Amino acid sequence: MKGGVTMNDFSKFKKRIITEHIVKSAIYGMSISVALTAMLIIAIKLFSLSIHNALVIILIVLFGLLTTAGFTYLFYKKLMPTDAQIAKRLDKNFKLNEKVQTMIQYQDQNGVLVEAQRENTLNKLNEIPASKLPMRFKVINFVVAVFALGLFATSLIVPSKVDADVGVIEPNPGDDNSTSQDTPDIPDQPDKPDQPDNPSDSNSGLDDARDAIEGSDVDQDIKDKMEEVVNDLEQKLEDAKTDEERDEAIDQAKKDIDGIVDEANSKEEIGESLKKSDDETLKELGEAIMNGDNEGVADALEKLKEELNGLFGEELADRLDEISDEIKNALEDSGIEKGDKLRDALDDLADAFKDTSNQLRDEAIDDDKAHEQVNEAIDKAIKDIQDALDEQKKVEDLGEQVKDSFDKEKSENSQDGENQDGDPEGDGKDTDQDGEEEGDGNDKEGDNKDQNGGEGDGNTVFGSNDNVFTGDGYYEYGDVINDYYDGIVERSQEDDIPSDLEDILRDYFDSLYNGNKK
Amino acid sequence: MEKNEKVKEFANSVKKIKEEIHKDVVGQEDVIDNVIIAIISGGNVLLEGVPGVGKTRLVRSLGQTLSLPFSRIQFTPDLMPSDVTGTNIIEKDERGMLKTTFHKGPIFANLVLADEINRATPKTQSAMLEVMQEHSVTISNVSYKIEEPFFVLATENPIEQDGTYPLPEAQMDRFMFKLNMQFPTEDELADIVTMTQVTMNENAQKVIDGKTILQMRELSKEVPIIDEVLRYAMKLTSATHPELPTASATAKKYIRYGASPRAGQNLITAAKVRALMNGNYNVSYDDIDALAYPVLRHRIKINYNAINEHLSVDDVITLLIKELKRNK
Repeated sequence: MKGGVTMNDFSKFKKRIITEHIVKSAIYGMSISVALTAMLIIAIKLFSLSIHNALVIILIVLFGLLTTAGFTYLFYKKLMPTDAQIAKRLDKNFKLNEKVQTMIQYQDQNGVLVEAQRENTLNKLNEIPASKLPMRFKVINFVVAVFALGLFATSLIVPSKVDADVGVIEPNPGDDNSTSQDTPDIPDQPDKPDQPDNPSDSNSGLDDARDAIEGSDVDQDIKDKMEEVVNDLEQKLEDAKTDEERDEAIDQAKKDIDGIVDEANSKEEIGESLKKSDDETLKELGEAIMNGDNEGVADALEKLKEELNGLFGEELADRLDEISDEIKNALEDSGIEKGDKLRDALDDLADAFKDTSNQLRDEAIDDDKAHEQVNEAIDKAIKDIQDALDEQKKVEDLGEQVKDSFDKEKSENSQDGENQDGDPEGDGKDTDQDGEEEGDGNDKEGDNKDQNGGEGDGNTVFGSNDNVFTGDGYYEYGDVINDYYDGIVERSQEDDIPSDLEDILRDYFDSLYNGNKK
Repeated sequence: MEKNEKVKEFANSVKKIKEEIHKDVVGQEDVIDNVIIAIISGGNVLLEGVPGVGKTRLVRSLGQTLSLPFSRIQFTPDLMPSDVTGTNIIEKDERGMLKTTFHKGPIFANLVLADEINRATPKTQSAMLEVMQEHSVTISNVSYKIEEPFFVLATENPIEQDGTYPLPEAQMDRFMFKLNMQFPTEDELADIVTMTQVTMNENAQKVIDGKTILQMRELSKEVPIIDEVLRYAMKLTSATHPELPTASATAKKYIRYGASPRAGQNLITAAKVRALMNGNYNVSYDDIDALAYPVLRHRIKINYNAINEHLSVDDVITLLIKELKRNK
């Protein structure tokens, strides 16, 4: 052989190819490890385990390291290229016409030509620097790595089932409502009055309903009817065995309330009936009554007053008869029975017109007296009609309040006791305008008192001692609510809050605090 | 150093042979190379070419270069086997007694040109081919060995097919190569005319002898070949058989009969010589591919599909090689 030519000339290429093989094994090993680790993370998240836990993180890292080492070694061992494969690659790359392969196959043999062939081949390899052999990485190597990294990134983005419920942290059992390890410290609780108690009662929604009914000044008859519905519902809820039965009972109770309200509501029938009249003034009156528009009622009747004050004698009597008959017919058509305040108010008006008309015809009174009686009758009718409409409005409002209480009852008795901060529904009582309806502090989770309610309907209920994320940290709800209340009071004193909004706020806080006093 | 010298000596000898032959034969590089391969390998060659392309001259020149006795047998339909092999003749000895003496036929030479072998009768052809196979002649139970190296170059005239007896496939198989001697190019023709205007005699000089040829033959047997290349050669042979499970798609479509196992043997033997001729110390895929044509073209029979698509035997062999390379 030429001086210095030995099997090292083959070995130098072998080393290069093995280096390439090590890198490929590492890529494959790490890719598989990353993919498996990603799947582990996804599994942890799906099974509601938290990865915000040092032990879990350490385990994941260890898993990743072990699988990396294991798979890298496996690929290294299993796919290590043989001398024959290296020889084939060299022949192909450097176009050596199977010289290297022949040398390797015959490396243990002797013979004139075998040795000559070996020498010739090594001379050829000696002339070629090892760096001339390009490292070969296939596209699949990188595709696998990219796929694994993509899967890993996905595993980090996928929200944990635990963490998916934004804003609420389950208190660790045995801990004094402390948050998880990575939440900020809760500030010291200032002394606040009237901390809402955590109620230990059930059916607080029904109690609210009763309170609302009791506190209302609608007719006792209507109150009694609604009270009866509440009592029935209470009984049904006690008897109910499943969430479906409870929900059904509540829905039925709501329908019953609607029925009571409809029964008390005559303005639509009467108003509709008046609108069918040929008389324009009565049409206007009917429209105003239908809409519950007190001002509209006054306007329409004032307009009538003005018209009548411009009439005299027979003409006045005719007009009074005409209007009286129209009203009477409309009331008859409406189907509303006597005794209904609205009907009675209109009835009285019609009667007054008829009496005045008769007196005019009989010449028992003169035009001035007639006008005076007409004006009195109209004034009285305005008041009576407005009172009746107010009364009916109160009944409607009471009905809504009672139904809201029923909804609250529904959400409080949610079966699984999960956070009840789902999508908000209901009548939009979102006082702090955070998109959720606030509850009364009766968090069934915090005190582990799940009262077997059904699925919440979006009402978020926080216990006073539960923790709420307000954007800059976690605080106990009891603290927050008091701060809110103080703030509202302060702003109210500075006349920053409109008066009608004040009523709503007052009712809101009243229900929160009073709802907890059991 | 001795081993390298032997190889270098081999290559040099071949180079010299070629140089000498080119003094008498213009062009025909492939034919000359393959003829040399066949001689060194111990095979025989079937040469196809129109008259006047230099077939006889090639063999004569070869004989002079190798310093080997040369004979030419012109085959005709009336040629008898004994005209080829020789026969016993009754003669009177010096005492006047009758005895039989074996008179050797023209076959008893190292280099034999069997011209237009397809014109002889099958009986004469078989007598010739038997000698090619056995390297001996048996007359009246007496065997007469033919001196090595023994090389037969048989020719066929592709034009005159009337009154000929085409060699059967079994007989064709005994030839290592079938070579096609093409009509020379214009330039080559000019060179031929120029050369033969001076003299029609061969100018080649002796460069090696028969003993050296035999040594070269022995040396070539030692050329290493890796299993993959060996397998490739065998695959190529078996791929020519359309009836086998290992048949290639090309064979199924274009071949009627495939090559015999002798084709595989000839491929390897010839490839080893070719490798050494080109200064290589091992057989490569290139050697197999290059020799596939002379080894296979007279051993496979193409079918009507190939004829219909105007494919020659060489075209079919090319398709075979491509298919095997694709599937490697």
